[in-house]
Amino acid sequence: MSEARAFKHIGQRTIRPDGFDKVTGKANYGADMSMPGMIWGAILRSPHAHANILSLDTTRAEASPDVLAVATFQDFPSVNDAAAAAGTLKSSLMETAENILAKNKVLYHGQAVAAVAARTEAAATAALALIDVEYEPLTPVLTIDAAIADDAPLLHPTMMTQGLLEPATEPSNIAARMELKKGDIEAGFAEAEVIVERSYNTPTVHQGYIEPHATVVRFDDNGPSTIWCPTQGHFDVRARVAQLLNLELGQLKVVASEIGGGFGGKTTVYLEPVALILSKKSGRPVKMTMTREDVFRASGPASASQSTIKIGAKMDGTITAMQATLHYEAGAFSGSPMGPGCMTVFTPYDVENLYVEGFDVVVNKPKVAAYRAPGAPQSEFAAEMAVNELAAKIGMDPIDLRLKNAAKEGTQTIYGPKLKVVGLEACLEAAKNSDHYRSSLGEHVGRGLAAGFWFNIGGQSSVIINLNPDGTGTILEGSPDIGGSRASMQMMAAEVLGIAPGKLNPIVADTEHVAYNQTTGGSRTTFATGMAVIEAAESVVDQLKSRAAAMWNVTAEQVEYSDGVAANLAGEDRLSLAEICANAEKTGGQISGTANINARGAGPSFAVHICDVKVDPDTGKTDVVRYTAIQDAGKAIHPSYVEGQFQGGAVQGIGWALNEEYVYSAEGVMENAGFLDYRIPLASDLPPIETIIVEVPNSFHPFGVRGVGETGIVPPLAAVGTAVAEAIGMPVTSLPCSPPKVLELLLSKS
Amino acid sequence: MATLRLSGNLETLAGRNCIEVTALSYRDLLQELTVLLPCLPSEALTELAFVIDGEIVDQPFLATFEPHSELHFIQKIAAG
Repeated sequence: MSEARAFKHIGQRTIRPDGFDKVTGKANYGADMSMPGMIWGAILRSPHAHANILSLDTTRAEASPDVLAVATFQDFPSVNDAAAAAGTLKSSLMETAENILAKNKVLYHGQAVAAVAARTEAAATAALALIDVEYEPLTPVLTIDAAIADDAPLLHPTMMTQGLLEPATEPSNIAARMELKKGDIEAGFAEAEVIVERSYNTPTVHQGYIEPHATVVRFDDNGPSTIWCPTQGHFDVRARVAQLLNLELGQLKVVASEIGGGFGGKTTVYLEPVALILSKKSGRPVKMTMTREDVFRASGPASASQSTIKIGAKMDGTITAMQATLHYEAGAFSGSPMGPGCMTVFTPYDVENLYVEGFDVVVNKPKVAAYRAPGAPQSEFAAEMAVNELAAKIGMDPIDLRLKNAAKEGTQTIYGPKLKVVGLEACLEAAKNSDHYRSSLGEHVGRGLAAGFWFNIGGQSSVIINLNPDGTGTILEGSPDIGGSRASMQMMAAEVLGIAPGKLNPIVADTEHVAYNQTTGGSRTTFATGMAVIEAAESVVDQLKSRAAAMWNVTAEQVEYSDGVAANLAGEDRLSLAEICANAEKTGGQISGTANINARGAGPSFAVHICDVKVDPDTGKTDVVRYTAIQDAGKAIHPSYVEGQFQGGAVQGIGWALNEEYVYSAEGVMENAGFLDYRIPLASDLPPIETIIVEVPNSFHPFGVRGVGETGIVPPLAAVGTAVAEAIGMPVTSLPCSPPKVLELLLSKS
Repeated sequence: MATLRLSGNLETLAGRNCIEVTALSYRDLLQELTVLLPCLPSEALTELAFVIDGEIVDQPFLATFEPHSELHFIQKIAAG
């Protein structure tokens, strides 16, 4: 899409098709499902952060009259000792299995060790006490510094660091190293007239989705077993469970329930395979749910990080070199988002000389999971803080500094490709011209600004559009709706078909009723599934033209279709979509369009955020007093939901910056595993989040869409951090800027 | 000839940051690299995303490129 285009429905603020059910409580979430004969599962969790399992005896539990099944690691046929002996095991599958039910070692407090299913929830919980486990406690490793120390206890005694210049010869807690470079970093620093160098750290934080993990599973010997669960990707749940339990994909059907938030945290499996084992053993449907405490202790949070940034520049603001060393906590098993962190850290800048080195470090905490733009908030926090420090050092406006060095079409990224058309400069200009940026500041108020980048992805999506005889229809898609995507699909189909969006009912179909769809993640759904919807709708339009042509005895080429009406170019005849559908039976049967695509051309997204905070000098409490999120959406299909994504990302980033953190005891026990003590921002904590939608169309999407779901969480950490630093007149290097930490900074100053 | 640019660990493994290739398709490129750069195993490359002229190509076996194209293998991007 290269030029502005007039739309009828795109860009309108239509009523959300799933909204009524959600606000009235009709919508069915993961734990809402119940079945006849259903029993309950419960998980026994580790009381230690790091320990060997010396013995695990389930005899007493199995003897209990209320207990119908027990599960342990040995119930994973794909990854048990026999599979290992046969050499058919992949390490990632083994780690997934061990994260779901520990094998012979526990690696974090709360890790699942065994499970039971009993007639009632209370009986299942009580039966956990009948499982006997003997542990040999080991010293927990809770920080990056502790993990990479020479004498650090090893979580995985055979783990060798991948990506070193020479193959590792000794095991280590560093799972992987990554290096990216562009230009000549030494020459770049030699050219610099001013250098800024500082280290930063960010805490472990949780996505904070309101709905805990839950599942209901029914094993079936004679047909597909069924899994109901709230997930961002039910096709991937099917694949993972099938791998773990050595099943064919056709033996499983996964139904995505409504989902009460995911933000990346519901892209993996925890309870589902265990419930299937218990259902198979008991012959009964099994329901399992996590408590909020379970969610904190045993689902995947976002990585804590340590970053060192060095930037060289000339006094006119030309950045000559940027260098980063990034450490990411992976939790108990390898696989932090260190890679995307390295790739994104300097992408907002068009700089000749770059060098980034990243490390994936295991620690005795839950295995991390994705969280909106995984890896980018941590690394870009450090980079943006340093850029703001550079701006202050050379006396340059932070927007002007960024404009002078902004990434643009043709900029060579450090990870390889050149950027296509992107909207960073447009976002910076919008920020500069905003009422917020031009406003003055009061006493004890500081202002911060930061940019952010995320790739966005495409991938596989499948859609079926069926039209009914009365001209209404259904859109069967396979992308769980975590942010209003049903409305977007409805609008895009309506735009192509030329009918009111409300005539079409968007349905998230299960794994048996629509072809494969990648997980809802990577800000891909409105882009990629939207492309599939458009393609399916265009197929429907072709059929409508053929059907009208048949009724008029002309060729399809002699029929024009627009605004929901077919016109006979050879005469005066007109037929509406509904009239053509009413005659479908006589012209060839059901009108149905399908699309199965692997979408290419995802448009990268940039954002710029401005934050004003007021700091109480006596308590260190920080309040956000004004906040503006500016982001390139390509084209906003439904502006309200685009703004909602901007606001949601901003609020989660503000929480990350101001209060959220996992607090651990020396023994590795999380001490704030509840929303009372793990403080996410509430509506009453925040001012209205102002938004500015910038639209630089993505030429690869028919309507110009870029993803918008993730980029909004990237800038807030540095925008808030810089604002706090300005308010207190002290550098901020560590998040969260919670009252005790800010007060400590203030006291150290005085 | 198309230019394959190598960064990160691929550059480390190959000991160079770019190489000219005669291939004009993904399949031919993988074959050519087994000869030119045997240190880069095909299994490892197929685990990576393939980029032609700045665009990630999700269906590389269907894609062709031009003699002046710039090619990259980059880490696959998943997300939240």
